[in-house]
Amino acid sequence: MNPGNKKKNPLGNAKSTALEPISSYVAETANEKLKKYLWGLGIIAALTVPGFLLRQALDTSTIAMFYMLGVVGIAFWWDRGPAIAASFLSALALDYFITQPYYSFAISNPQAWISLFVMLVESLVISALATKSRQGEVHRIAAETEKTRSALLSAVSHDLRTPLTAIEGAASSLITGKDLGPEERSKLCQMIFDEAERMNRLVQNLLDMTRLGVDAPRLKKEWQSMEELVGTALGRLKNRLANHPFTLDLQPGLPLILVDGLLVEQLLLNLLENALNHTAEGTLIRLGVKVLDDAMELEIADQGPGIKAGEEKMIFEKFTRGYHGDKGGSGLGLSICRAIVQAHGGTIGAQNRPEGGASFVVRLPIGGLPPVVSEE
Amino acid sequence: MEPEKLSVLCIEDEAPICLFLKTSLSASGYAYLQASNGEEGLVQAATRNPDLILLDLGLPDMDGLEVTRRLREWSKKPIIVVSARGREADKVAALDMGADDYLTKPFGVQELLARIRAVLRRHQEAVGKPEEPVFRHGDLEVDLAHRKVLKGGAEIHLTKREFGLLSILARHAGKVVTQRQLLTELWGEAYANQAHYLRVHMNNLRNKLESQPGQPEHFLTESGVGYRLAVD
Repeated sequence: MNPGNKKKNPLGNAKSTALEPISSYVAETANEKLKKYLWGLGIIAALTVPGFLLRQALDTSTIAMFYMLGVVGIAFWWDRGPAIAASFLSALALDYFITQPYYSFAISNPQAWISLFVMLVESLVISALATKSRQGEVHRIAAETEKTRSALLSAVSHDLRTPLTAIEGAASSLITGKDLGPEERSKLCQMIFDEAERMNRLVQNLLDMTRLGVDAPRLKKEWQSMEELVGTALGRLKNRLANHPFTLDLQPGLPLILVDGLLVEQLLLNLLENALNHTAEGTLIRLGVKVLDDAMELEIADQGPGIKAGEEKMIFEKFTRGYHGDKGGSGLGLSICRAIVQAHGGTIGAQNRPEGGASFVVRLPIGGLPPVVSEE
Repeated sequence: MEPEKLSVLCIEDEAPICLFLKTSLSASGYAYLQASNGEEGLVQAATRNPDLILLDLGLPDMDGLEVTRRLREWSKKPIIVVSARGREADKVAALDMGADDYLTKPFGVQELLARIRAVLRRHQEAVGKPEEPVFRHGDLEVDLAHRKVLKGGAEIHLTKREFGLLSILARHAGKVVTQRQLLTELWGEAYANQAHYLRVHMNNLRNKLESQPGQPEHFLTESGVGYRLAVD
């Protein structure tokens, strides 16, 4: 499989997905290629300096080891081409600067011939091996990415099509249905609105996932107030929460916490939405926040049907639809929660409560000593 | 004779969004003006003299921030910028550049009309009528002139900073105020990036003035942007 055949990321956001390292590896410009060779040249030249200074004190074969190290590095970081070039270049440099007679490609000592030859062969073998293992890694990542991508595409097209179908259906009924009463009309309009909101949530989750999907998520950590983040998330879910009794248990005097505010807000939003999606109207939802050693613990508990036995871990995997029925979850919400928590070095877990319902517990490290803010 | 309608210029390139704006604004009694790119928007703003400008930050021909900057060179008319969630930095830049408020795509008609009303009211007060010295919302009453704050009729003591924070928000009631604006006004330019100062004092303010500090009704957080004192 050649990952280069698919240069375009179907999500249209090539900049921020895990695909980036692969496509850049494949679609290499001539300019980048030249740069690699120049780096190789630079490294060999740099290694010649200590070799040159120590040529009286050290054996030719010892100095040859320096060069080999350089070649290995070049093979690992860049490519076979620059590594092979570097192998020949090291042999020439060794011959010209290090072996006697100096400043000549002639060689007086037959032993030096052997050092030189062995070094060249070893360098070539190492560069071939190193490149091979690196390409294997690239292909492995590419295969995994491909797998995730097709799973993502099928899940996304399904999840987008469901609300779209509802919207299209409702809108076409409104256009053609002359006999619809005002109540039916308003019902259909409400449905269009709800489904559009659902699509919006899905798109937001997809965007978050691409942001978190890269090996190093770009976190914007600041000293945040958990109370405030909770308040914002609850504000955004006001309409949906109105159908449930809700308890908020904030430990008084919570310290600030060093997190990415938007992501933690999304975490709270997804966990609360998850509870809303899986429980009947009128059942209690509880959110608790307390300090536990050097971490903050968030718990979201519901009175729904709970998690199926054995699925406590699986529900955090991408595209897994959760426990007992579903009201429009995308199968992404919880996996994004996990990604957000992991990016902050925290933990997330789910379990059934003895008194019934599910409980999700998140622990986020506070992140050090919160800054002191004076009252005045 | 009918009073003249207030006019809103929408600088927006997406036809379906224009249709939505036109329908909802016309139905609410505003005159709708439209420009589909930045250049045209600047020309229309100069020739038609709208009462309010609704500006999409993602225009095909030029940066929305550039449009904001050029509008602010000569016009004091209220500007509401529109952009997607996740582009908080753009919104903050536009607000700090003189835009009056923002809307996050997608938005509903109620949100749109509420923003427009709040911004127009603040603007008219700033131009004509003297500033309302007492702010009221729900059980909260703030008398700016006498530095008195009442919650459900009972006077609440605030620290100097808390009152300062409250009075800036009350002066801009209904409008978002960026973190930077609050920090520089209360603590000075050196504190412009110390958002945690705001968070701590905002928590204190909520604890004193909100019935449920964890589910605020008055002091709303605009994630990554700033704060808004609720009106209506």
